[in-house]
Amino acid sequence: MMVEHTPWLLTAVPLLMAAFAMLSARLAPYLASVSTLICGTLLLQALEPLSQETIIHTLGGHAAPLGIELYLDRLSWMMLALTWLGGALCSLYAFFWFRSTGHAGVAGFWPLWLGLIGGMNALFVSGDLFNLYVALEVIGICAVSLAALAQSREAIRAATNYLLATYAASLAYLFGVGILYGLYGTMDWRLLATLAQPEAPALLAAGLMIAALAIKAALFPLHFWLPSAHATALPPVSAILSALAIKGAFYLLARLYIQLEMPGSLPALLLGYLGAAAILYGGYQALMAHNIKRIIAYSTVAQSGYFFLIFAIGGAMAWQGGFLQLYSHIIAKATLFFAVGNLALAAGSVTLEGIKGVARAAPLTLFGAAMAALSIAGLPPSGGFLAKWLLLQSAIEGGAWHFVAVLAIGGLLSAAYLFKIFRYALIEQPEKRFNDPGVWLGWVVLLGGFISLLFGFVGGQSVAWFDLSALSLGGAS
Amino acid sequence: MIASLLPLWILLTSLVGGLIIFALREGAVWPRTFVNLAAAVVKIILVGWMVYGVYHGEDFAIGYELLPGIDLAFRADAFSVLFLVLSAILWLITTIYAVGYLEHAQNRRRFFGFFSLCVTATMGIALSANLLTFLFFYELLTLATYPLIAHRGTAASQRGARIYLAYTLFGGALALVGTAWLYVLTGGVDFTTGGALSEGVIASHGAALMVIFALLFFGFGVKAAIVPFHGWLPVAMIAPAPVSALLHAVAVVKAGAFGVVRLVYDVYGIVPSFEMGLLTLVGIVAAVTILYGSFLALFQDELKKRLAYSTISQVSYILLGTALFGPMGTVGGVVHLVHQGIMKITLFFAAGNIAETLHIHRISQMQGIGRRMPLTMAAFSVGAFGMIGFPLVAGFATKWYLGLGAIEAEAYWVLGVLALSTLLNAAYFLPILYKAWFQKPPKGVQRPHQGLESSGWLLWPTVITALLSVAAGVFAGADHAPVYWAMIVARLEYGGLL
Repeated sequence: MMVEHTPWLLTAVPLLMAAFAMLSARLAPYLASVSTLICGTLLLQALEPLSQETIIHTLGGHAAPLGIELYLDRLSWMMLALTWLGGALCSLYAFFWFRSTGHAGVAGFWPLWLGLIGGMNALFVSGDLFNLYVALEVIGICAVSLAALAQSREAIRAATNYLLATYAASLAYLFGVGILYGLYGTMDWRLLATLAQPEAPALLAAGLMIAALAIKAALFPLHFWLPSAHATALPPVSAILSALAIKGAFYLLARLYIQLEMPGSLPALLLGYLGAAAILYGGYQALMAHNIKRIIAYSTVAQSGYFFLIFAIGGAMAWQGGFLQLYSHIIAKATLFFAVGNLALAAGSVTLEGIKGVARAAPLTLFGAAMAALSIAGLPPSGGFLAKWLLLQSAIEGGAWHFVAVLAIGGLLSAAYLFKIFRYALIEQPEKRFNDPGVWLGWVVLLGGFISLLFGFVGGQSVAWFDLSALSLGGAS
Repeated sequence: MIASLLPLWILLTSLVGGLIIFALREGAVWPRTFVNLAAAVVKIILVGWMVYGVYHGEDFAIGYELLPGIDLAFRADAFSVLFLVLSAILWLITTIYAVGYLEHAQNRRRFFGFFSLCVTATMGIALSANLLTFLFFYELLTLATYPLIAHRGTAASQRGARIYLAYTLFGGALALVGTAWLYVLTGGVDFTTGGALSEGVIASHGAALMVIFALLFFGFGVKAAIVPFHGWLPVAMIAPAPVSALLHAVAVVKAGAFGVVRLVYDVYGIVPSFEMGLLTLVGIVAAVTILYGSFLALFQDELKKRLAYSTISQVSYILLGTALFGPMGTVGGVVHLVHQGIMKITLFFAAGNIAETLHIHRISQMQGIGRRMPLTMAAFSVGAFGMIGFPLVAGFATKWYLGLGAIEAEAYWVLGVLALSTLLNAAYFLPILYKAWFQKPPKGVQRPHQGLESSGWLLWPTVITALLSVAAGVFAGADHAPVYWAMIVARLEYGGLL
């Protein structure tokens, strides 16, 4: 009986805690822990019923199209669970990071971060285009404000650009929703999927929404706002933005892809090719960068490209590979940003030159980062390896040799840019002095790296949970 | 239960050992040495148990489903056993050597930790039951070796390690694409004696299979240092001596050669490989590598560099034996996996001992070194004679069976390659021996110690591997000698044909 309330509780609990967190900065981390515990329990409870059916909650008892319905199916559950896991790691790191640096941003951080979690959870269970708009807005506002917490000139400028990009995208999305509502009189997307016709206004609406989501998911060449915003933010915030915030928009695109039956269509191919371009462009830019935070930020542009490949390759296996990549990236990228934060604390610098020899001061951090780097480079054992294997197999099966080449080159590029960080960190500098970043911060990185490695063994067990055919069948109910 | 999970225990001994070492403090020398040696000894016992089981027809196979329909699976056959025994024994000996060699070095925790991971990856390679599992550990080996090569942290060792990584990751990418492609065509590739490909697949995908073979052969060949992918090996020489020894004798180059042998025998099968003309590709590349490596070795004055080029040449004997269609060629190739290992490790141990004790790195400084370090140089001489193919040392058995294999396969040009290579081997090894034994040391140089010529940690492992090389040569015909097990491999592979 509890389970049908899970969808709205997952949003309400973090938002409520966010409100309380605004009242007391000191209690905020504990409120975050409470929120994490409750959400974790809710998710565990939903696991059993979900193996049979989709959980639907009708807000206020009014069914669609008049009322608003929330859906929780296996794909949403996986997204929620991985966001929960990544979020818990980020909270842990943020707690120790703020404690060890005493940064003034802590007052704003916890309410915004809890708000962001609430927004993401709302997004994963919403089945209604307007609800989704609201969720996207909440995520956007919280993300931009988090990015601005660093308060440096560069951070403010980057956050402003982020704000403009995300607002332009929101407007385009809202415009698209408006057109669809005018045409079909509903915003429930499962109903829309049955009603929508390939007519010009509907196509315009779909185009606007896809473009809007591509901006928010930082798909090349609409990624322009991302590298600076993610590279200038505070370390825990960079992790949150790169690992979590952009995943919501991609998830929506994937939903649209299923509901609009896009496989093989021109927009799907376009998204896929842009994804391929992102892998190469992001990888190249990361390789050329000298600032380690920028390297990791550009890595996000490249890694996101892998998710988009699935639109062009198509098929169940590519789909599984793409989502496995998404999940692995959440953990691996958060871990790498944690590691970069620790190296910056230890060396007092975020340039490659500046971190020379830092291995001596931060061995735990470096070891954990190496485990996470495996996943990003698609090397075994890691979730990234399994994902790359599935994508490779599906590309070969479909005869898409250009994507095979992109996958192979993309893997080598990622190995090369990540390796640069380790190489500089390992250059012996006997006379150089480093700060101690604190053992707890190192342990969080190690934990993240360990989870990332573990995905290489258990990640494959989960792929049955996002099989494509089951999802598209779960349409209008 | 315990017995059926034996492959897992064998992997875990060094993995857990490595993790414990990472967890120990840098200053905890004796606990670390204890963990190191205990893990190595336990592993030898477990491997011995496995050898016994495999010989008596027991099937050690376990698997874990990594992705739907794709397993991470382990299995022990006669060929695994050869590689396992070699790795397990040489790991113990190299650990002893490394403890002495790194006595005053920094970052020993990191060194021995990754050293153990490296051995774990090697064991995984030996025990892989399918192509994906092999690839899994092949990549793991690349990564575990990198910190060992870069260990000293100097600009030169950084450069060597970087070049190593670039080559091997490139090879790994080739192998990954090849493996994924083959899995798409066949649905899965379990290593199977006589070949894993069905006739239907061979008939319908002939051209694709040729390309896949090339991808996998060159992908694995990078680690086996075949020309033109040999460039990493001489620069990786910058690593500490025990690492070089391990790299050249057991882990890295052997992983590549092991992969190629598996590819020919247990993936494509010797008959399909022959019929598709793939053996010719392997044979030509191997012959070119053998001669080119030996030729370049002539011009190296730095001792370790000369040994490195010698390795490039010697490892390709394994590939050459694989390329000869016939059981004798197989015996020669497979047995060299072991023979080259024990002989080459002797040479590197000796070179490392000379460098540590006398600080001599160049051949031009080696006059009279035999009088100053007689036991070390005697061991070195055993290794050198073995490499040349002198009777009574292991290398002779290799060349003998390779020669027989060449005649059997009617590939008479191979005899020419063997003869020429033997001349080249003699030309780059004999001058060293002449200098060491027959020239006088420079004036005023004394033997370094009153008692033993060097630290026993460095000396005894060298002597032991030299004795092993002689034993493998003298008792080549005995039961359970490496040649005996290589014969089992050959008999299984050609079972239907003999």
